[in-house]
Amino acid sequence: MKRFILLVLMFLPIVVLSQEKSNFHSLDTNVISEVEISTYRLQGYRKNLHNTRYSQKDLSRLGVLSASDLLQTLSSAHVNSYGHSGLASPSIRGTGANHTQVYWNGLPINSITLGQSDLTIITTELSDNVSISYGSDLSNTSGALGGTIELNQAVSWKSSSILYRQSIGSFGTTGTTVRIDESVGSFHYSVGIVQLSSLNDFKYTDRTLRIPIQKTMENADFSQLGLVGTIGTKLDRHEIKISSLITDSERSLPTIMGVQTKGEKQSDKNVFGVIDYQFIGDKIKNQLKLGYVRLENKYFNPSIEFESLNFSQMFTIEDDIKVYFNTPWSLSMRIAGRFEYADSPNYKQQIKREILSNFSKIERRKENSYHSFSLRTEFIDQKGVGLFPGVGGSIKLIKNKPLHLKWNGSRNFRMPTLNDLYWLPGGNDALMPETGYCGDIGLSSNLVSNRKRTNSKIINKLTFQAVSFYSIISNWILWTPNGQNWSPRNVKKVQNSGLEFSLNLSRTVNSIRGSKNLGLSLSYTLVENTVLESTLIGDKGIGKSLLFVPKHCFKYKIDYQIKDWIIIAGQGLTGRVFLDAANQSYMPFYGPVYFIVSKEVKHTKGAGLKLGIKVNNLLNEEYQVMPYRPMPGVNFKIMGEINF
Amino acid sequence: MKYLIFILSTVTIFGCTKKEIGPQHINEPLFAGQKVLVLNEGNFGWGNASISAYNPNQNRVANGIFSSVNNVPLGDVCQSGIRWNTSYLIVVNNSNRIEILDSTNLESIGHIDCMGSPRYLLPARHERAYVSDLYSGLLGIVNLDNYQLVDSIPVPGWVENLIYGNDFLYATCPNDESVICIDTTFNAVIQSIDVGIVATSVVKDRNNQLWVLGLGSGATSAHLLCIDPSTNTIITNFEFPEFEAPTQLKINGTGEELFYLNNGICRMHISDNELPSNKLITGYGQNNYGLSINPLTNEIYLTDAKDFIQPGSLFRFSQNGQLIDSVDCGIIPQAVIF
Repeated sequence: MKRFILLVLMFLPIVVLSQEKSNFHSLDTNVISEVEISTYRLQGYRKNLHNTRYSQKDLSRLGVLSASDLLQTLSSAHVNSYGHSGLASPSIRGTGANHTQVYWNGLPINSITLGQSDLTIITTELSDNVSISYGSDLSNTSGALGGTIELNQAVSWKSSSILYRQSIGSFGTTGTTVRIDESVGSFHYSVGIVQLSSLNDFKYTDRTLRIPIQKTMENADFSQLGLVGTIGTKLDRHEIKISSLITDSERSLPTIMGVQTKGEKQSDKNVFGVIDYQFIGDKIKNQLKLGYVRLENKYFNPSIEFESLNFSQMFTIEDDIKVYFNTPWSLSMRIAGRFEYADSPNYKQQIKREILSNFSKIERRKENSYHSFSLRTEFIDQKGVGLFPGVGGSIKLIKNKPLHLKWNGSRNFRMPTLNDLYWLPGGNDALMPETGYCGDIGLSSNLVSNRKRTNSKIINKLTFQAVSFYSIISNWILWTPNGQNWSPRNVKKVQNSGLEFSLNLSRTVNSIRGSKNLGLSLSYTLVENTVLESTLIGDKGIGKSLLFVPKHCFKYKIDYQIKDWIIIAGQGLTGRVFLDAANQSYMPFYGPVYFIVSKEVKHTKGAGLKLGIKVNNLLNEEYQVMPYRPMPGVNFKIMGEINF
Repeated sequence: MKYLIFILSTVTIFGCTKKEIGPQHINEPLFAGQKVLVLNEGNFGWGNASISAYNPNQNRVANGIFSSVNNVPLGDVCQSGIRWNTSYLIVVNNSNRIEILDSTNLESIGHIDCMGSPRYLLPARHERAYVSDLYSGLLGIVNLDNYQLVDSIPVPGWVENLIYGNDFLYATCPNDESVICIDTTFNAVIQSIDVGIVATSVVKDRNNQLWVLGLGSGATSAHLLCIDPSTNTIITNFEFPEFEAPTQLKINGTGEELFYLNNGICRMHISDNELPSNKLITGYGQNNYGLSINPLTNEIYLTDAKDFIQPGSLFRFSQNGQLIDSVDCGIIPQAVIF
């Protein structure tokens, strides 16, 4: 606690300094928009990475409710899903689930005990936008060797709205969202509540029987209640925002096919809170953040009357300052302190960990080029972990044409989780952090053309990103047998290389009869995942892929909008993944199709009504993502939304 | 309309290819002739338990034979098995089932639904067999004529290995740190012998004495005990050095030599007065997991589970510890049925 107070005092001068310098001459055009602030500044650090951003409107159009849905539907990432509403973990660019960092308003929310997030319980319904970045990122925390997922609350200064969204679907699935946003002068508040539930009692074919028969999924129900609140105010160039999100998720854990249910249940109660103070001057920006994350996970197995309660808390304080010079140069610095506490019946005592970090970045931004150099230093329990540099850049390849060549490179690391270090039995406090070198280079473009005809105007848009990436991660931590127990060890050196390609095409025709739009989005990811070295003698996995990493992922979405009608169809094809280190057994490819039809009716006073139906797994494909965990066949969801 | 047709035709083109469903494993055809069966546990919750057939004379192995013969997966966590008359009885722990296989062609001829989490099975008289269980707190009794669970006996929690001694059934109870004695006429526990260790393995020697191996609990070390079933008392007690974790106690065909895993394979004569100071076999395998002794040849079979996510290995040694051969098996090989 003393250190916490000390850090607060340490940051105060920076805040004061930033206020004093606010009378610098204005050169910066990045001033607060009248409508929206709280663009969470750290996003800017990842602009040079391959990244995609989705607004709440994008997500609601597609009936996306969770980060798991989002990644499966739209992203270049792969999701290992244990079934509808089951545990879902991400894999970006061939890395593991704990190489993807998930942030809520800038707070790292990956479990400090497990090192990863369960994407199913991360609701996107209460976020205003979600961003996915691909590739190593050093700016916020260490460990993002694969990529980052970021959920944010925005503050709108000049808009007020009430939203009611309701969905009803197959297998007793319902979802209700209510959100109120209100702005009065320089004061804003918003509150939102979401309730999701599903019985998940879908039919599946049990193929573990000699004569396969149809069964009903048992013990797979899911419910979630989420509550979000944000208040914000601004005075001149100063803003303050306080946000909080509470989620309470309960779910039953089904067994695999052929195994009787044991009635296992899991509950996750998460509390996130953040206070952001932001100052935006002409030549200096500053953001001070205080954050709190509490994760509580309870597991219960009634068949053996076993209960386990694990919880962790994290306090964070950080200051992020950016100074613009009178040249193309700017300097950013971010100092952060993170204090972690965790408790579990499998720890000898409550565990505490303290992480102090500094991230500095110098940037040179000109009209046709951008270059940056960054350096991260981190101290864990007052011991230095090392220096982690990063470079990035982009150049415009053809003058006056928006075709950019971008590149990034960095050295990154992931510290062992608290379970890796302290779990009894097996925890290994001699573990070294995983370290990696990651790089990517790619082309991106954003082309828009307008053509006018007699009674219409045609707008064609094309955006594409083609990125080639490479990473090599050493000291890869795996839990391996060690005598009577399993214990984590630094076992492997893993190389990932590949290609991400995404293309968005759209053609909009505006005429006096109304507007029409046809859009096509494609994404393809190729991942060559190879184990280069292993401490295991005679490891048959050397030269082979790790488990559950697909080599090919292809997703597409076609949407057609005419007047108030929108038709969307899409599919996510995932290639085979291996089930053993020698790559002898595998899960075959799958590619469920979805189809959405919706109609929007807008009232002249801004009120709107939207009705739609989504058909998941349109072709009733029988598939599994994880072995013997069936996914539902064709199913429906009726969606309604009133906005005024 | 043309756009709608375009959308639907694209979806149909990409969506209409199918294919394999669920996990795909290597299932090799069963060969004819002599074989021992290697039971591969597979990963808990992945449903990838399997059986490998091994011909020791030809150094030949066929993996995934249960699935290749029966066209269905074996289940989740293959824990143990025995040969009984013309059948193999295979205990599939997390699938809560005992598969009955015809010993000539390995075709499944039935199965027994158990009480939750079966571990080991021991046939008794009158076509009955006893089944130990991890969680139920019961010892199951099954009728091997009709493959039905017919009765159960309350026991103190987790029951592991089973053996007959002096006309009574003995069972190790790891959580209770005891060995229980059961009268099979009345199907009741008649005595609990406090052994003070997490007793797992039990074998019977040629003198009808019972040897029990268990890990220490709390501050105590692992012990190897000898129980006289005529008095139900501990007559010999060997303590292992601190931090040693011996497992898999087995005995050779003549009932004279004990074997166990302890960072290698240790051998001890039943008349020895102390634990062996040297290991019979070391340096084979990454993660020694299962140990079996062929009762006819006294050859030693060691399984290596490696990192639990790749095919394991089986090593075969002579009774003096000379390597004869080794073969690749399935995921997490453990028990061997001769």
